[in-house]
Amino acid sequence: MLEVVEVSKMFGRNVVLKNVTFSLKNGILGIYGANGSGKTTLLKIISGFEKPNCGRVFFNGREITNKAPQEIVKLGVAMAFQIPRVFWNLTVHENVLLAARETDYTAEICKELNLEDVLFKKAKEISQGKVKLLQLAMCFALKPKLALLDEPFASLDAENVEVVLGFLKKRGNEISMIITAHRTKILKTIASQMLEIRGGKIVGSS
Amino acid sequence: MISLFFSALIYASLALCVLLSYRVAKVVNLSFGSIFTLGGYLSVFSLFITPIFGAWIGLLLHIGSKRMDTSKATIFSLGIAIAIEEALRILFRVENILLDSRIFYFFGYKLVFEHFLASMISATFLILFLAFELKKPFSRLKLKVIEEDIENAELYGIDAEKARAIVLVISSAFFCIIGGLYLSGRVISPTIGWLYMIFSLFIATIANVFREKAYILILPISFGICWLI
Amino acid sequence: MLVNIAIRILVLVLLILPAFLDCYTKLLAASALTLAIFTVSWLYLEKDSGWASLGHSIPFGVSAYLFAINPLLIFFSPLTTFLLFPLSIFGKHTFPFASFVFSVFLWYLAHHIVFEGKGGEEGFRAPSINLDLIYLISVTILVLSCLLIWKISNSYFGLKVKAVRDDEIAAKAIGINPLPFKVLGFAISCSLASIAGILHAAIFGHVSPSVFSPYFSLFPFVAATIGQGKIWSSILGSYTVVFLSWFLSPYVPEFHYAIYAVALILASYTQSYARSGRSV
Repeated sequence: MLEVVEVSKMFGRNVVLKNVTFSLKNGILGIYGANGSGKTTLLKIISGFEKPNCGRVFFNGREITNKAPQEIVKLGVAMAFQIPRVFWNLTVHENVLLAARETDYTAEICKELNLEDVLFKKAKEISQGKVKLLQLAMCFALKPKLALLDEPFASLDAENVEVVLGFLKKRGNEISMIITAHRTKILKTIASQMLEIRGGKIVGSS
Repeated sequence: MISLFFSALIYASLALCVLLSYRVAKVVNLSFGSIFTLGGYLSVFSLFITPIFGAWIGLLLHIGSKRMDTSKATIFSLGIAIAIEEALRILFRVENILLDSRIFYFFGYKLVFEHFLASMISATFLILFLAFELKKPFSRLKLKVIEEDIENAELYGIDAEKARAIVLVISSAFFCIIGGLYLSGRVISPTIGWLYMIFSLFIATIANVFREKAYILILPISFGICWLI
Repeated sequence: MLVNIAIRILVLVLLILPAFLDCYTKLLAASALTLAIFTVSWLYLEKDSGWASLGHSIPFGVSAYLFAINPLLIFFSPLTTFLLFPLSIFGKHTFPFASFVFSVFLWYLAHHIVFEGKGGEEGFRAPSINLDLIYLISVTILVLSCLLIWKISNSYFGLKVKAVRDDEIAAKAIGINPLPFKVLGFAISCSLASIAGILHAAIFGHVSPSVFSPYFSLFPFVAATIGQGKIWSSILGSYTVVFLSWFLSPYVPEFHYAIYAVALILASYTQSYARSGRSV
């Protein structure tokens, strides 16, 4: 499904990713590493928000390296950002509706992710935790084939972590995912494969 | 060529005021045009009152826009600009006034004395500022820190508010003096200052692209643009 | 609630009543009407697209000039979008000032527009249309504009425009290409402003460089400030500025500038600009 071939990225003289190569056929891939190891940059390159200095990315056999993010979304790759990117002046319902394009599916996703109580509040009026859930809802409302989740458990309390875990496990049967995190504890409960990234390089896999 | 050089000096100093207002005071001071015009009208009475009025307006601008972000402060300055313009219309019912000037010969070139004086004051201003930039490393560092992040600057004990006030007061006073001198020999109206302000803004915008070297390059950029136009 | 109803009734009265009054009042009302359409166009760009223009006289004035030079040229008016839209490259915070500076530049440039020996500082004579007819057309266009904007705003397309306004990156992340929606937002606003400019030229039978002056550039901003950003009250705000200006200018020269100064200074304390999500 996804193939990342010798991808490297530099910001100025700072090498963030160096010759990263891996592939994902299906299932949930967990990528873990310390702050600044390159996890977010890797996801942004796959989703088209950053362009690599060299290397290529293939999705379902098609090269997507230089495609615009909105084109990659249409191919079936959706991303949930670490710092949520939502539409702050629109309601939660409108945010998800924009991604889902149908009212029934919007309601279903919002129910699964515990957003029913804030459905008609503006995104800027809800808590950070709920914004995080909203970001996830928008990502999955797109019905992607591959979901890129950057630190989906950050800023969530224990109850919401359980909600998200349950949601991801349920969706994991239909949708492939790449999930990044600092620590392996939560990732191990959900991921079928794991990659460790350190200093921009993949140093271990299991 | 001589008058081109003098014009370039004047526009460079005006652009420097615009740049400092933007970088240090965090405001695109749109009232500069009206302050420039005010200088012209005040010169009818006396040139010596122009920096005083200019300084007062700078102080008013500082007090009024103290805790505003750049957008709001700029809107505020536009409001002040229009208020000054309207005040000039009310006080000077005659729309257009011809200002007196004196002609003299500079190495065989015919020049307006007031324009020459304006360019000398501009040159002095530019030299003093460059001397400050190059000779006082700690003050220069303070300025740089304020330019980068005003809130952080305050956290580390730099009196950013004082710096802001000084920049606005001095730049407004300067614009007023130069307006009083440079508009000599012309027919002035309340809206005449806009063009001079836009031209200075244009030079400042180009200079700003060069970031740290902006202050040093402002005169060559001004000269280049004056020569092209 | 009651205030909203009162404002709507007042606007309706101001639209209908002048049609039955003398020529001078009708002319004044027609002028206010065209500027109300102008304000509505500005409001759409500011509220839904998130771009606060301080140079909205650009599409207004250019279209008025096109109409005066040759009425057939009005079909090119929507292209004025491409005079204003490129300034969005400066970003939401700088766009208002870039548009203002550009409109002032056009103001000076307009003094040098000469066509077939006519124009310059004096401007051009525009085709004059019967005042009653133009008044009726203006009322119709104002009502249709408000309906159009309401319909667009509440549609799926309008939702996408607002989404792009809030966060372009988030829009890309859900498959929306921001560029067409940004351009269309500008196009809708500029087209309405162009219509207002053409009507303005038709009412007075003349167009001069003053059509690019800060009076027109800042008018919709001031009217919207008075109207607190709501359509009906901004229409009322337009009427307020025009009526106060016309009645008080003989006593205080160009009184509208005094209103502008107050509105701008007050707005800097109360309004927010560059609407795009919450500040982090």
